[in-house]
Amino acid sequence: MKSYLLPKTQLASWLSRVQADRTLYAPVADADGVLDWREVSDPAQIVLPPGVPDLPVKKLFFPTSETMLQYAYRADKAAVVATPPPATPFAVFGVRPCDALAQQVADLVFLGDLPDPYYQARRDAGTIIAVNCTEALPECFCASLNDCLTEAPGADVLLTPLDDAYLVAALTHKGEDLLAATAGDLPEATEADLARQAEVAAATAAAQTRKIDMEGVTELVRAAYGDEDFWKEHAEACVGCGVCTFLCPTCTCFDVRDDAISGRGQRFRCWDTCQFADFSQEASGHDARAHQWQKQRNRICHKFWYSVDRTGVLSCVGCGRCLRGCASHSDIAATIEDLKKQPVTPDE
Amino acid sequence: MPNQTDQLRQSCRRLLSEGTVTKVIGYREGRAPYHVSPHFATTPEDCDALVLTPFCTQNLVRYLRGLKPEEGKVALVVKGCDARAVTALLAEHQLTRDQVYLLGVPCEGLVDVDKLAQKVRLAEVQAVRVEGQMVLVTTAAGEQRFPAEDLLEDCCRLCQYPNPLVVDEMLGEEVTPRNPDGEDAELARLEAMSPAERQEYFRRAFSRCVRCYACVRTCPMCYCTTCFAVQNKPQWLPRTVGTDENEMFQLGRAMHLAGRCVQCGGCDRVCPVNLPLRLLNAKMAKEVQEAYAHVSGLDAEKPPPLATFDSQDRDAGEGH
Repeated sequence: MKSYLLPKTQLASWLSRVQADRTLYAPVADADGVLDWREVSDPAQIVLPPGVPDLPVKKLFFPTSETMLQYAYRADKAAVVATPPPATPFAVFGVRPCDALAQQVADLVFLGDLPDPYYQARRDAGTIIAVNCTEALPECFCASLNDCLTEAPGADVLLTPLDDAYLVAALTHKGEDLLAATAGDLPEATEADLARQAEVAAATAAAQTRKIDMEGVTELVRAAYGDEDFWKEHAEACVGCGVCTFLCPTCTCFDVRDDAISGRGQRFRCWDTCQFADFSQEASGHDARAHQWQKQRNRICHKFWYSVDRTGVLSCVGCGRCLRGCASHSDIAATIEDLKKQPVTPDE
Repeated sequence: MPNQTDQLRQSCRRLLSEGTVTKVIGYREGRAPYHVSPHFATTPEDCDALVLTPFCTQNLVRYLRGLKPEEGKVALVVKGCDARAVTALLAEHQLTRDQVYLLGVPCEGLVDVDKLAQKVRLAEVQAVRVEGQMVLVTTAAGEQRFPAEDLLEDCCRLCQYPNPLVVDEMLGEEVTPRNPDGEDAELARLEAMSPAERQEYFRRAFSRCVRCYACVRTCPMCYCTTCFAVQNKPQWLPRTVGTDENEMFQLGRAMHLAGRCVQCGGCDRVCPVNLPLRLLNAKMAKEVQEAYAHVSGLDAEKPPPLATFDSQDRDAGEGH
């Protein structure tokens, strides 16, 4: 696939060409200076913070809440109208490689045997333009888990900052189409440029201060499942909010509810989390994971074990947001390291 | 604060070995100095991990929720704001004084990690301490000094009560309050807005809320068994995430906290989308103070005004 060299001074004009045929999203500050993934009206608004932005990009594909169908009913009849999302083409710029990979992990959940049409429509309409990291935040540990810095799986286009230019590489057919339409007279990248990309990725990986040996992590977590004391100790400080999961780029749990007044209503889904009190509570009142340590154990087991069993991949990409956002600084990587020190207990 | 930390560890070892308390709730450092977690010590050896640093952010009073008398007395490390939360909970009969042993820490203020990251590369930070008007940051390259005004958390910059008002043991000398008169320029700016501007400001903020309820769950004063925001039957609030519903949630919470919030900044700090929760709660606290001369967490005998009913109240029974 083709790669180009985009002088940094021409980034805005290239993004304007990207914007010509599609809506562009990127990290943009609101009037209070808070960055989030917002529609870009002028590329000058875009702010790329060092490392991952505070908020993951997943909400562009899986909104915090979305209407799935609307209905009206009377005693003798009812009408139901499905409301699939508009398939307006969009591109999202500034996604970090770990978040792009996370979207691919989410695809395995939403687009498996029974594809989710709401997610699918947004995913089909969206093109992910990733920008490689040149800085590691103290919480980053993707290099211990995956090769997102070098391969950027999940991204359609990858920009890697070189000296005064970006190496712009198409990674998928979607990315190739986007570049074919927008590259204009950009020069093609040379072999030397491509070699530099690997150097940048290697330097960023080396700058990560958290290096965790993840060898055999799934077996480790599985073996520790029954070790209640371990989980209790590691969840004692957990306050049971949803920050770790809401900030997690691969967490995809949702709740489906109805909101109806006077015979008219909507069925919607909204983000939910295994950390909330009512997540695993049954109609009888019984809660299979009533204690916070069970909820935290579920989170860790899901990331490193259940996910591997179901989809073949880990669902932790090493972005570090759960640690950064946690009120009590619960450290998922430190939990794994602590697990290695545990004597092996038999399965429950 | 090495001496203070030594003193803390010593006291905690004593309290546990003498059986005065069954557990000590304090802080320990994680893999980086600015990742401090709550620490639960049940043996004298566990106390070796206890630390006191300007990153001991979390209000530990939250962990007293559901504490049963049969669990025995628990020792708790409290800064000025945390001690006020204990007093406020005592006033609301959520706790009895003999359930807790309070290890008071006169507090110079907490360092805001986001503000620190603007000044230095976080990964290089080895230690940080607050000394009066300065914050001293140690990196491999040496020590850098910054004005405390620039690096402290907002609630600490504006703190009126840095010294715990209720303690069993005070660790270290009392400190001078940074803001004895409760000046709050940000609150003044908010109050100077027209109602329409203020509404726009808050609605813009609330539009960002993702309803993770971290504000609720970190709050020492949010102890409802089921928060009104997530109650199913009856459902007070739609679970849809939108500006209107978010506003209902946040304003509902602000009303519940009016005259009860102790301004520890926990919600402000943990909010992943930077809602101005400190400011909102400071405004409510000021309203209650002006209307009822009540400040939360100063007197364990005075329940919050909005939680009381007095038949002798001159406004009671006048058909309002």
